Amino acid sequence: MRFQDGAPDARHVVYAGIQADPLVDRVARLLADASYPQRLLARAVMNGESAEPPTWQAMFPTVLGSDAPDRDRAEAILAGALEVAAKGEEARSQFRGAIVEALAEILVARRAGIAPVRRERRILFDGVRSEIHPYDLTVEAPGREEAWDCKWGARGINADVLNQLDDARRHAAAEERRLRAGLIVFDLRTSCAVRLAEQTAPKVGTIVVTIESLDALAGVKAAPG
Amino acid sequence: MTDDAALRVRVERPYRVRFDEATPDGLLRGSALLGYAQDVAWHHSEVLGFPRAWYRERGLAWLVRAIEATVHAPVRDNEVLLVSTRVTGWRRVMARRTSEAVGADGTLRATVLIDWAMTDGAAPARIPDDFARIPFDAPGPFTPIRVVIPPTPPGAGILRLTPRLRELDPMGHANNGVYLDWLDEVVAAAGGAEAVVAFPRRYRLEYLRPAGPGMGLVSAAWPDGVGWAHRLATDDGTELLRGRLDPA
Repeated sequence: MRFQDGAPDARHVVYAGIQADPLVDRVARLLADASYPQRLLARAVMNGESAEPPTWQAMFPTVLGSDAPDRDRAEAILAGALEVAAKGEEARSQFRGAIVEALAEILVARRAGIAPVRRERRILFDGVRSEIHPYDLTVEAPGREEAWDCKWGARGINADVLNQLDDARRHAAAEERRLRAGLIVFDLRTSCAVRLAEQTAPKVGTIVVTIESLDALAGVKAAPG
Repeated sequence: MTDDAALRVRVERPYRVRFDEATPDGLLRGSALLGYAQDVAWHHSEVLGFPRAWYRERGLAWLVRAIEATVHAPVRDNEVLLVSTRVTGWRRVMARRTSEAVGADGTLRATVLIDWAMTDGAAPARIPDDFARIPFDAPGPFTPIRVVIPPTPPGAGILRLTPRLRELDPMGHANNGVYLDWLDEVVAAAGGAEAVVAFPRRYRLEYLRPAGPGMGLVSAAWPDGVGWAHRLATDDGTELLRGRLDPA
């Protein structure tokens, strides 16, 4: 099992420009230390239902109210999310995807420590034709390899990605290596579960990290223990 | 050193089959297999940040609602098994764990599905939101294991039991693994001695009410279809458990 840069194509070139946009980095960094309610706010705002801050202040009083905890961060998230929401449909979709990837990279890097965390990498296995699509995120530490695909919403979960993750895990096992493979979805656990229930592609063994469990990527347990 | 305990959607632990966990044939008892599955589940829970104290503080507990155990190949006294667990489904008040027991030679010996129900001691309780903050293995909602058997026929094999002290667990009733031994015992006594050591074979148990100390129990088994049906009831006919043993 070895890792390799994904082959750049026209979409990759365009998307690379979005990934490098300072707005992506700013929002991702804000979300990395955000609370669960603040992340919910970001998701709602970036869906683009309203461009009016008062609407969101009324809808999320416990996040944006005058006595809300970490209110400065919440306001900054709202501002950044509104910038994303103001973009056209296609650009908004690409920005949202890039933000989830950047956020995931920050969180995974906190857990991985000095292990290399890379973007847009393919995984090659002996005697197996390589997948066309690279993984959004990989951890390439020997013995602790991981491959993640990032999704803005549960609707992004499909047979292609489930098959790719399952294949990668099986090929790694055939080489007596262990590969953690999973989905990082900036959406609710229940939405992901419903979507997964509709899929017939193999999914057992695929880790699913949802908006509620993002902090686990950084190695934070669910509750004090 | 990095801490990725929060990401451990699957954990495994080694278990050596103790002398007292084997039958007179030298094979692993069903109760011991289920005991490993429960213990590794506890270990997983602790790794994820939910130790026993967490449940005690909230007055919550998991109870086994049903199991499906497939024994693929023999496991002998003193063998070491690697037993894994992962959460493979959940509902409002229930969660399913899947455990696999693999021998030192890498062969799969047993697969155990356990449907757990959360309770506050008096009634089913909704699984707290804290559990949403751990990643999950991709399957989500699931259909709980149900065991449907006909009424006990007049010619069924019958054994009368009273739970012994060593069969009780800290919750004050027979541990769920014990019921599997009781099933084996009554099926063998009813003429199914070969069925309880056949490979592969599958057990399905649905727990309805607990068996407590001093209770007089009627354990019944009879051939049904390609396998065996089993019913455990109190002396007054209250049903405690429905079970099946079938070729897998």
